[in-house]
Amino acid sequence: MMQLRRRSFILVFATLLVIGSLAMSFAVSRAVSTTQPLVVSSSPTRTVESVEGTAPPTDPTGDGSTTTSETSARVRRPSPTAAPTSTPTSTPDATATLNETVTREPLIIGDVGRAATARFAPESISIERIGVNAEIASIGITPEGQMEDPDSYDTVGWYRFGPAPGEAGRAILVGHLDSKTGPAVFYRLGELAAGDEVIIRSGGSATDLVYVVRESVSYPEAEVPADLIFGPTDQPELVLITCAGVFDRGVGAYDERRIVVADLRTPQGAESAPHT
Amino acid sequence: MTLHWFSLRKLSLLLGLALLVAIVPAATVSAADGDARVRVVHASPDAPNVDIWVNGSVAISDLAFKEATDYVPLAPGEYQIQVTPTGAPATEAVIDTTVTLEADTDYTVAAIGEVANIQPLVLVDDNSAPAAGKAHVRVVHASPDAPAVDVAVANGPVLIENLAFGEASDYLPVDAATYDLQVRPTGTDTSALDISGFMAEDGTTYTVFAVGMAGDGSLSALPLVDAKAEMSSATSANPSMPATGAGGTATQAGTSAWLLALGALAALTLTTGTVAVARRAVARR
Repeated sequence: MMQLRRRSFILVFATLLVIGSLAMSFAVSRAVSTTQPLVVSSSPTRTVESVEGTAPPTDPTGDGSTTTSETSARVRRPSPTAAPTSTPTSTPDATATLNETVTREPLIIGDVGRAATARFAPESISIERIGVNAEIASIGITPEGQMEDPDSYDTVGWYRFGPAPGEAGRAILVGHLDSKTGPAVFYRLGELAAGDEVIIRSGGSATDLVYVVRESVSYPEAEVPADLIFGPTDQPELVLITCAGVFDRGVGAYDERRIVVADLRTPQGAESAPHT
Repeated sequence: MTLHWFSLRKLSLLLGLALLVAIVPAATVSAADGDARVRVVHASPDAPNVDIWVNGSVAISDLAFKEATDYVPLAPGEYQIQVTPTGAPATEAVIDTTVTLEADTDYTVAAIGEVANIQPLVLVDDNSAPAAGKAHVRVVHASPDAPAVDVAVANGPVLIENLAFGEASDYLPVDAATYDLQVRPTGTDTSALDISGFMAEDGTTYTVFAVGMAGDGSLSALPLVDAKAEMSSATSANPSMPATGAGGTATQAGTSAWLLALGALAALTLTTGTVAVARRAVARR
């Protein structure tokens, strides 16, 4: 009788144990399954089987205790130079998933920067003050080492070897003063004064970039300060260039250049600059 | 059962986010040969900022939606990755996973989907250098409510067809140039997202995430620079000033010069007259 009671006690205990562990196993697998990585390989030459989500603790052996030490031993230590003792297999070690029971050494964290994003060429410019509303096309440098001028008298050229509008540094925009027959897109550029707004639309910015004119000066062509045009700046600036001065019919060119410099106005409530 | 419900509640309450990643001892910044590299992208539109834990320590803190980290070099091997809302303890991780990183392999791990269905998307990156004059562009569909899409050049060819949420395209070699791209519901000509002025630069590899929600107009592009070939920095001399005038309005200058000459002539005449008058006056004396 005594033995029977003991037996039934053991039976009940064992049953409870089984039920309990099943429930826990289910709970953990439910919780973990929501974090299964979705793995996509976009490189035909590589496979990604090696990256797996935490495998649910369905290890058939159900023995996490003895494997914990193995798992710990496999965990990379902070020494980044330690070569792996073996190539990680593509089959995840199910026991490595008992995160709660695995003691991993914390790694010291260095600063992790934010990723760079692609550059965007500006699309259009509008300067209400002088009636400018023009498309922007990219320009470069001529074989003779001169900055190209826009193909059209109605469009504005963006010097693509320099910063783009919105980027730190001076974005250079060039427009013609006149054609052979009359005024061109930047004919009235000389009328701009400090405080006037210049608006640039760029695919790289969800909102218009608003620049505010800081200065406007006309220099003899050979004396335009290089720093004013190409000098680096911490903040985004805009440099607008067109012809000025006297047209020399012998040379076929004006003898001065109008340089208008504007600062990017940071919109109220705009996102702060990305972390660096 | 208690554990079960507690876990679920924790998950549903915390809602957090994204995913995986990396860490490296502060002392070693550069990647050693053989290291894997991992970066993390927060592409879950309604999730809060998150911290990303690696092996029990915060490796990346306060990553916001539409932010991505640089690649972080890691020795190959297994890592425990957890994601929590910024500032929350690891016990509140909403993503808790283990990844195995292989040597000399780059990974991009993105948290995609709305918080209620957040999931990690792990991409293996191919950052091998594009051919001369080319760029590589890959597109990832990470807008939970957008249909499958095509990616096309505006007024040009379709580059990528039928890309569904959670999918990444192959790397597309394109000529280095500036492109106006459109993301369109598959099979249509209607642009759901314009990516205008995208500069595919020589030797550069890009991954463009389409993120946000199509339904509320927040669909946007997150164009990441994955790798950039070292170009011989042709820091040639600055160019000289452009020829920005053809003289078509310079006739005014000519006119004024002519007027000036006329004025001078008039002045001369006047002076001459004055002198004559003066002489006459003198002569009268």
